[in-house]
Amino acid sequence: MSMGVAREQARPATDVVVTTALAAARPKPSTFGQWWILTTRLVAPTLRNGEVLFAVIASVVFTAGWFIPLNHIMGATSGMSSYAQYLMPLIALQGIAFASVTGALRAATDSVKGVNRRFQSMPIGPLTPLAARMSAGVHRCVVGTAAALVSGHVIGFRFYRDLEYTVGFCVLLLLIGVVLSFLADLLGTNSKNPEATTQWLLLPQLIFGLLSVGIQPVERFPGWTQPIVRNQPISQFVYALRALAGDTTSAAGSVTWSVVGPSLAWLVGAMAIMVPLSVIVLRRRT
Amino acid sequence: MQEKRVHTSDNTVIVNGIGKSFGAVDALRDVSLEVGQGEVVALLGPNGAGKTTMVDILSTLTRPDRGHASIAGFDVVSQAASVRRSIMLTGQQVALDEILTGRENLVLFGRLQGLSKSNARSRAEELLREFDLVHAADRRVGTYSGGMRRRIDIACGLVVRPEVVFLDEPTTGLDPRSRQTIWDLVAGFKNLGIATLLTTQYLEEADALSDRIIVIDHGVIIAEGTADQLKERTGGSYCEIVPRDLNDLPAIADALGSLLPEENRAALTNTADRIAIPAPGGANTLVEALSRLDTANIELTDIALRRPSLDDVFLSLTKDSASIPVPDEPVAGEQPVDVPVVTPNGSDGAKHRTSGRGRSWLASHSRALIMLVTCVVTCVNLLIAASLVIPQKDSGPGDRSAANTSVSPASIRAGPPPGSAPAAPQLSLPSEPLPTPVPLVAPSATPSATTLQQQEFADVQPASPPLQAAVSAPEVPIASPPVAPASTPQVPIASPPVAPASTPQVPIASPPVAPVSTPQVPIASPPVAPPDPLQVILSPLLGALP
Repeated sequence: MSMGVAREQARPATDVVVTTALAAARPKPSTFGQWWILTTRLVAPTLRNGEVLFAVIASVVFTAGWFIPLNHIMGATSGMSSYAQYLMPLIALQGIAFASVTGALRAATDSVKGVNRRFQSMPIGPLTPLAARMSAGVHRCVVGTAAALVSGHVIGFRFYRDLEYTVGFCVLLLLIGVVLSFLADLLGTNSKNPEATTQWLLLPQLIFGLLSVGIQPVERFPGWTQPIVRNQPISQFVYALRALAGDTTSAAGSVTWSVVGPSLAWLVGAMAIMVPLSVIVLRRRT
Repeated sequence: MQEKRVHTSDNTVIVNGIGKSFGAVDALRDVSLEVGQGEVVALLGPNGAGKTTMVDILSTLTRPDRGHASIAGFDVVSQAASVRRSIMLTGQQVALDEILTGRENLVLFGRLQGLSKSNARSRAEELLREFDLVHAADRRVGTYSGGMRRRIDIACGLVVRPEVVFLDEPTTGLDPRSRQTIWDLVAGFKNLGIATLLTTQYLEEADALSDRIIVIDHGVIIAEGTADQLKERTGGSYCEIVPRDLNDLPAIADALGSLLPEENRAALTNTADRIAIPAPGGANTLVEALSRLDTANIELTDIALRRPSLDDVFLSLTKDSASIPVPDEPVAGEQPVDVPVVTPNGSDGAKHRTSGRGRSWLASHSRALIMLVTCVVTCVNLLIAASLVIPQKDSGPGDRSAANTSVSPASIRAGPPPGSAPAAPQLSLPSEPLPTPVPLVAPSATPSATTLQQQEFADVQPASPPLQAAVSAPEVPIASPPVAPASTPQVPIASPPVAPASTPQVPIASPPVAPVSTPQVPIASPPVAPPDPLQVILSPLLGALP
């Protein structure tokens, strides 16, 4: 109990400090300030805890993992100027999916650790933590996109269209990232097991990634899978991104509503389901 | 938007007829209580008694179904925002950002409460000093010991002044010294005029800390009073006498005389093997009883002074309080004086508390695990590449399609005309004679890939035992019957129920635990399934990509 004794001796001096601090009137926090602080909380340690590093490594690994083995096999059949040009959308999407999984892990950890519960008992608006998590998600997606673009550049990917299409490429990628992050956050927040959430989110990423037109043309899939392969969201995203990136050949497709539209429809549709769902979930908690 | 206070009385916490049901379970039924300024009130009860629900309602996390409650004069439902500005809540688990250091957490919470950057910093320094955490200020909270985590958790709630502090089982799982430190802190709240409502399973804790104890069980307040009053109702300390010869029992009862109250005398049965007498005088009563029995020349096996355990309190409070200190269960009688501390440890809030250490380890390594998956994908690709490059070199691009036909189990065929392909080309793999390089590569690729996956999943979920599955999986492409090559042998992977979280949940201490404590069903178990679809996808692809 020596510690207790030491504390007793120290008390008279320190108690005064605590008393004065605790006697002061409580300040009034601003919602915007809280959003910013919570976002900083999620973003600031990403360099330190390896989140950024892992995003970059993941991007490199995805790029190398797809490109090196498949370049000679698929390159010729892709119909585009290079396999890098063909593969780039999938690399970028994998990077974004990876970012969203990381976000889900953090959201789930917060949820399991009781941090969300604590925030709910504090003078913080019910949507502020969610908004902060989404901002952090955007940050992750930007990092992921940047890493993917650099990796793609190294293997030979180039933007062949005007600047606005390049911007469109990045914006569409970020939009997909936001929707994925939202979905991942919804699942993560309501999960009681961060690790399980991570697994569950990696699976669709793998399955949809492999069964998409990101690696090889739809014609090379078995007949019965072709409708699924062609119409699943990842393939549609790949079509749209490929068109936005362009190519020296015409194989990238042109930027038309019929190419980009389905992607946007998928995104809008997903949000149309998830937003009400998350409102229900938020309501249920209070 | 300063809200008007609904109450202006001295009591900071006023609860009036609160009720809350979860489905068919009444978590709280018509509970009323009050906590005054600077008063420490303990909510004492077993798991599932409704303590946490009560705290949740008062801290605006849950809406009550019935009744009203106000905190610092604000209604918890209609003026929740003002209530949140008046309270400090620490849950059963330490709710902090473990990636941040102790100081960063303090600054974070200070700024969230509206302190300016510099104020938040200086406040953090003060709290670090006050909570003996200066030495660990720049370490991540994830590396803190249990007692330090609990201290920093409470410190984060004190960056600004709360009117009411809710401590939900603040010392569960702490060693005695850390517990003492927390107790000192709570004593400090009293001096600051902060009302404190703490929940606990430990009678000793309620005893040491609180001005008043409210005993709650099955959502109902079953007793209220000071520690002394409650102990008195439970019978206080008692002296237990076990004779060598059971036939001496009546003689003992006679010899004890006035020490054995009438109701205890009446409660004696033929089956009793011991006699218990109230010991208001503690050791003096024991000495007195011993000398009387000695005078009467009665031989004893055992005579001991016992204090009521938490079990005794609940048993006596939930039963009619008449026949209290006749412990007819020998097991309960074996427990020494400090039973209240030991007994509840068995149940240890396991319902709410997920073992922090193990989880945080996993959490901190998940990113590495994600990377592992990534590596698996890469390895798979490289193996595919290997399997393809070899035949390419041998036969040249022209022959590639021919090689492909025979390899591809999953039926993506580049070469031959579609018409010539059987409906499910992969099925023919076992029977077909393969070109020399291919059989070497394909089987070797599959086992390594599956094994890696197995490791991955085994790592993520420590309990999963898919070792046999790993052994059997490689056979998939070779031995499997025509239909659904991957699905059948995979079954063993999916079948072992992992359920790592469903560890012994049995509450040892508290018989009257309500069935509320069950919803522990781990979300962890479903994910065992993943290997199945994953391999379904991967194993065809291994051979299919060419």
